[in-house]
Amino acid sequence: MLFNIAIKNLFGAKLRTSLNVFVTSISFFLVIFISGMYDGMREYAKNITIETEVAGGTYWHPGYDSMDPRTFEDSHSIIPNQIKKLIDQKYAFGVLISQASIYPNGRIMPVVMKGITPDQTIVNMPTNVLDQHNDIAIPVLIGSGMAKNANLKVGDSFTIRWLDADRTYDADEGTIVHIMETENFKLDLGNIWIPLSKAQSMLAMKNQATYVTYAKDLEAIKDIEDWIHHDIDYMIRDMEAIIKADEPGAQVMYSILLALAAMGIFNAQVLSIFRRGKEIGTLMALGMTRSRVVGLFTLEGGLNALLAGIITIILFGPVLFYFGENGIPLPMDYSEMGMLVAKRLIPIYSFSLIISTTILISIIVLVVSYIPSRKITKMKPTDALRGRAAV
Amino acid sequence: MENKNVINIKNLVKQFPVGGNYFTALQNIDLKLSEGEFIGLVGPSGSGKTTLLNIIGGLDSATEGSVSVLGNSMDNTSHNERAIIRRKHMGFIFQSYNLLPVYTVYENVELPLVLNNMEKAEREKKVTQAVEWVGLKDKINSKPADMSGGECQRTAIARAIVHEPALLLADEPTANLDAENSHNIMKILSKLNSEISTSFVFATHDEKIMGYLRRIIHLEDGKIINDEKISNPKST
Repeated sequence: MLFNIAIKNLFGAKLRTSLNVFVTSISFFLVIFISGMYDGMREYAKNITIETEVAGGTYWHPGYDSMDPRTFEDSHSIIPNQIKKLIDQKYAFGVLISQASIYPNGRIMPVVMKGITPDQTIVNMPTNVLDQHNDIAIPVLIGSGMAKNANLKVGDSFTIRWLDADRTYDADEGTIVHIMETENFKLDLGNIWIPLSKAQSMLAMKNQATYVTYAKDLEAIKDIEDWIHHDIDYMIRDMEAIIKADEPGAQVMYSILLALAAMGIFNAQVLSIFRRGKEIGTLMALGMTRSRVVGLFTLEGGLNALLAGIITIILFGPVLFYFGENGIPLPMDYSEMGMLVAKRLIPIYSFSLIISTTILISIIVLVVSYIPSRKITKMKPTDALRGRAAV
Repeated sequence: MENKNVINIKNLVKQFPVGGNYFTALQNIDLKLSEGEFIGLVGPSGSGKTTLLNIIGGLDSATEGSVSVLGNSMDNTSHNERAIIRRKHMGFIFQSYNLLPVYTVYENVELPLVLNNMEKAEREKKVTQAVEWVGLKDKINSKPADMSGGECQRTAIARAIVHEPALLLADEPTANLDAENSHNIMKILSKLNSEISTSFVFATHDEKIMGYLRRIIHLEDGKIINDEKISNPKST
């Protein structure tokens, strides 16, 4: 009986129901969307590192420490045979790192010079642009941040000075062949990329590399001499630590969003129920018991939440899907600040986010339906009939 | 027609707290109403007629004294027990109709039957009959917002009588209506009174309807000052 009356009340009061459902639906959408954006931002840093830098994992020269530039000079050796085989099969590529100085526009800039296999397709970098430049002494690939800092554009030439394996300084002219747009600042700021063979020749380190990156889903090999294997988990451990450290912050933000949504729903629902004080009085006068009146209004709240869920899927589902696929462009490039933030932020709607949001908002709707209707039914029916209900 | 007691009130007192004191709305009310009576509680505003009607209907409770309605003592009954008595045995008509605005005439009239868990087929039969009684067959799918005050009050009457209650309580049923509609409403009610064995109690100070009443109880300052039997009412 209550269900039939609740359905009749909901669909009979088109405007009231539309407003309540829309407010609840907007709350669903905003909580899922903004939390998804935040999750997406955190996941993005990890994903972009994997896509552009780590791939399946790496084999490092034993002396190499990516966080310590002082190790760069001596961290190179002939690539172990088993790893070399991977490179020959195009399942891996080597990178040779050295410190260098460049002199763009009469200035001196310390840089990290990285030799990379141009035809690699394992990480998302346009290294193929380094190939086929026989007319250029040293073809150079840089990121847009570096280009901006050094005031360089494609075709610009500058002197590169380096220290080779024989402890001899040498210099030659490098020419920008491409400026890449990358969201991983670690590939961009302070880095110049040149062909691996050219770097090996310049540094007198034939067949040598500092580290080798291998493709995703490839099993790690064991016979790697004294080189050290770092899997994907090791390579992104810092990101994972940052994400873990940020979890309380994410939970606080989620709670704030939920609280804001709750206030919106509370306003709409409470106003709607208190405006129906006379209706509640009439139902009581017609013989509906207090518990049934509370049950009816709580049930209406539950149906409201259900409708809101359906409307969210119909109305906002395509919006969530669109942004989930295409992301949202950010107004500024955060990579210049040394932050791994995408130029286009793609929200991630996890299953747990959707389920927890649905459950929590439904509970909020039920509570804000239950409390005011309970308060009104505790009044004398004569006062409720006069519409004397007040918050 | 008039035989057993429908309402039996003894020494009723009703006080309301006002500030730190109590306002006495009804005092020393003794009243008996028999089955099938068509009576009016008449008096000026503040005389206590609506309060008395609410106490009879179990919407309010007495401060002192005893109230028995349809054989049920209303003195120590719970809200739920009173709600069940209202649902099964009473009908209410309010001054401002109190129709549910999102319901059609049919749905408003059907509501007491839904609350009494009546089968759908039987509900349909009874609603159709009640709507025909009040002459609203052509408005059965209209909503209150699309109807005149007279039509709304006729809907409220249909809702009050659809489950054929033993007692019908009407609080100023014609206060918002013009003279023509007031007479129509009273004609409908007196006709129903003669066709079904429902007892009618009106709280009113509307002179237009007093001619229909067969017994008038005059209230003033919370006291019964006169209990008058009308010898030749329009309702006979």
